[in-house]
Amino acid sequence: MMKTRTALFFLTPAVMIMVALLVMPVGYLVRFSFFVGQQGAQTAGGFTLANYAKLLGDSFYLGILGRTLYLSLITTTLSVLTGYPLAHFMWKTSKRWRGMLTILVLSPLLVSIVVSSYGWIVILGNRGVINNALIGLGLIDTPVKLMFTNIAIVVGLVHIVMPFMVLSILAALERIDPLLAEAATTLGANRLRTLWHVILPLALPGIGAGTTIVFSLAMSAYVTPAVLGGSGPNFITTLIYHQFVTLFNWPFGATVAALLLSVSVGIVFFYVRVLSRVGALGVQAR
Amino acid sequence: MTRAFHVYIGFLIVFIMAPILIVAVVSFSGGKVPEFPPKSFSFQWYDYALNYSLFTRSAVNSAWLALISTVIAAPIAVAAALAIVRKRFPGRDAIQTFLLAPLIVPSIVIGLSILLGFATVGIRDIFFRLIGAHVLITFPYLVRTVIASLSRVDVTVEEAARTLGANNWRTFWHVTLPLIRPGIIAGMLFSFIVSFDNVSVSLFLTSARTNTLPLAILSYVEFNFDPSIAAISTMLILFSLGAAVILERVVGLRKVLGV
Amino acid sequence: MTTVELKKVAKRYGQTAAIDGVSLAIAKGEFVTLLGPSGCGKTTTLRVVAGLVESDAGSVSLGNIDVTNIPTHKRNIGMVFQSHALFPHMTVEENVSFGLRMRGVAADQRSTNINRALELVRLPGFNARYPHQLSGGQQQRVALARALVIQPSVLLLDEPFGALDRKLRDTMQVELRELTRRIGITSIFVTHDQEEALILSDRIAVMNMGCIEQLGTPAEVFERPQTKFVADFMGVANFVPASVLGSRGPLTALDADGIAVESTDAIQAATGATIEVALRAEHITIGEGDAGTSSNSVAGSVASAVYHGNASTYEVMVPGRSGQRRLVVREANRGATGVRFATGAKVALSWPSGAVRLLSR
Repeated sequence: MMKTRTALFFLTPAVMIMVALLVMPVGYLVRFSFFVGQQGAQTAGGFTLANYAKLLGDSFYLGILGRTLYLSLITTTLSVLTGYPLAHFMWKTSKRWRGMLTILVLSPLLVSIVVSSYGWIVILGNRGVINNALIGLGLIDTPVKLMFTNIAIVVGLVHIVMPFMVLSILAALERIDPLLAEAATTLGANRLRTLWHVILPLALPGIGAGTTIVFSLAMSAYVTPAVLGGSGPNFITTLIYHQFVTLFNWPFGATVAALLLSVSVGIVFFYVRVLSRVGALGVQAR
Repeated sequence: MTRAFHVYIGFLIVFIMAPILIVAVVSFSGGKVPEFPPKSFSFQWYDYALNYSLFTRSAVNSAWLALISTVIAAPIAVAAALAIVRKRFPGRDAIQTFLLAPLIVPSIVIGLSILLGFATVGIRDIFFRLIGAHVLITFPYLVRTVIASLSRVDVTVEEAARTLGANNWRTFWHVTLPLIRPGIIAGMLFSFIVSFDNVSVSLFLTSARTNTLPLAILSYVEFNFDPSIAAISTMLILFSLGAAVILERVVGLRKVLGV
Repeated sequence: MTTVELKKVAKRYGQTAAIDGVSLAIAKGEFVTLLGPSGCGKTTTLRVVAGLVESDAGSVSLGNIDVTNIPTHKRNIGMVFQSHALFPHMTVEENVSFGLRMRGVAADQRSTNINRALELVRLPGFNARYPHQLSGGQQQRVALARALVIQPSVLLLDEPFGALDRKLRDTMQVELRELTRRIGITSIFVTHDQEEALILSDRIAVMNMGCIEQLGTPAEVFERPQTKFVADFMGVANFVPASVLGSRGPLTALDADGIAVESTDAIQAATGATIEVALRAEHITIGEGDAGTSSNSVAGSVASAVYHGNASTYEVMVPGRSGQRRLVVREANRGATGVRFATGAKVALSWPSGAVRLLSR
């Protein structure tokens, strides 16, 4: 065991970089959000709540926020529907395949998001893989518009956030005693009923954790909505970029960023305080 | 049921791999635009990409940035992990959560905060603030992998070293460090990838002259649509997947990602 | 000559005392075992000697030097752990060499010492193997060689055979006993296995609740337990409260809940005092028929009979003053097929006065 003084000494650099690079900068960001905002206002001062009033009172901005939440919600739902089966499959598969499957399923996290976004352009474009195939098969005459739509954003988002759902659910599944399913079978439950009554309830904490992670990641994604969603602010993150880089309205951009930050931190806190407690009960019940 | 399930799994794996595989195929295209399947094959776009100074310069920038950030963050993370794993003190969990906080904060917010924070205290050097931001985003992954590998080291092995006459430092150097070295290297490798691939943190911190590769690609795609991007991407994919195989072998990918 | 001395050593963890004033003096070359159930403080005591745990009070000296405030790495001790604690990234040779390197021993001198140590634990030629290439027993031998090669002033062994299977443990016990006697090293051994303690030790310290309950040779501790805890831990099955009636010549007469008992033990307690009588199951003779009227015998009926190969165990209900009392009797099998007495059989029990132990508490 280490002496307390040594431990403090070892922790000091880490805490220092966290304070200097995260706590203080985020403090500055929040302070900026209360400055008087105007176009071109890179350095500003004063104190006002006008930025928040503007963000939450203007139907244009509310529309972007609503769209962000809506698309993130759809993304999260689809991530559960795709992530659970994958996790279940990885859980059941033999050790030999599991390593390869892990690399495969996690590859969207390892390959640069710029790369996969480019891939989706090639697939979803008007002269892309899907449209060429559909035209080639004679199913359609003119290309279906996929790029720069909500569909493209959701497809791209699901692709990059779903691995986190798989990991969370897999972690929960691996805590399940394998004999449990067998016990359910001996009690006369068929496979579907075992899944529904035994496995799924126990996987619920994993689904909860995955939902939290995936939702906040989807909401704060930038590249996917920027590349696949087309030009103009269409998502909370692209709105931030637009305010900062195009309009140079730093205070208002900081306000949008502060809102994004509080929502994602809020979700995590909600999860830790509420969902994980429910999850803990679920585990205890077994 | 089982058959339908397997078909669904197959579909999902195609979905996961599709953009990556198609990019790889397109990169060998002989045409002027990315088409799938390509009508002819050539290496011309690799040739083009490797000689296009915007890409090569930003790739060098990215590599340096990733390397320097990782090298700065790693020892700090090792020290912090040692304290967290080898010492029981009140608030230990809180500290650990605090050190992993950059994972919760949206990366676009981190980038902006660094921009505003550094501007406020008057630091305008682009590379300096990029390094600051990248140290912050790579740090939690390093902390997590080192904690994971440190927790697997049997404490009695360290005690044995002490009974044999090794002081704290020599125990760490001869026993603990060699045992967690694979974990540290894996963490550094992953940290390098995280930094190298990052877009949303660097977004606000670069300039037209000092750019990172992902951002250079992003701005190139806005105005050009030739397969040179596919060629670069394929090289990046090979690098990432190679790293993924190493990580999976050494510590297990899931440990690094920590879910 | 004392090599290891603990004086009133105490260690608390929060509200609970792990060790509560342990004093122990160990002579040079002596093999002492700290024996007790888990949580009795035996491992903590050993770790205090090693310096791996800082004591709250008391002092530890090794070879007449007070080491209470000296860190582990300067104490010159050899320690063997239950988990072997071999360095997994080093070969056998590198493992054994570690302590010598820390002491700055020259390379050529090191290799001589290493080979001698490996010969000592019967693993010559295993130098280049890695720990994971060895069996559990071999790993423990390497750990022993690693601890011995530095010629420590004391060898500390923390349940070293706990992870081995029964048969291997028996062999290793004999080897360890032979080895430590041959090189004459002072050893402190920690175990919860009384049989292991009896086989290995010159002296045994039975520990309970952070204190040494009894310190003595294996025969003393086994044959003459001084407290009910020690007797119980040493496998005594029968305890009966008794009041002292007085001396009858060389014997002490007692009334054990209505059963007349005589013991060769002298007792300090006054006549009329209530004490505890302890009687080993294997010291009771079981036979057919009625008990006589003499002391140290009683009649009863068999409540259960269990056959376990080389012996049979009976639970016999005997009438006591405060109701039926259960005595456990173990009889060695001498050619009998199965148990000699069935459940419900009327039997007579008797025992020699030399087998009756009187415990003051």
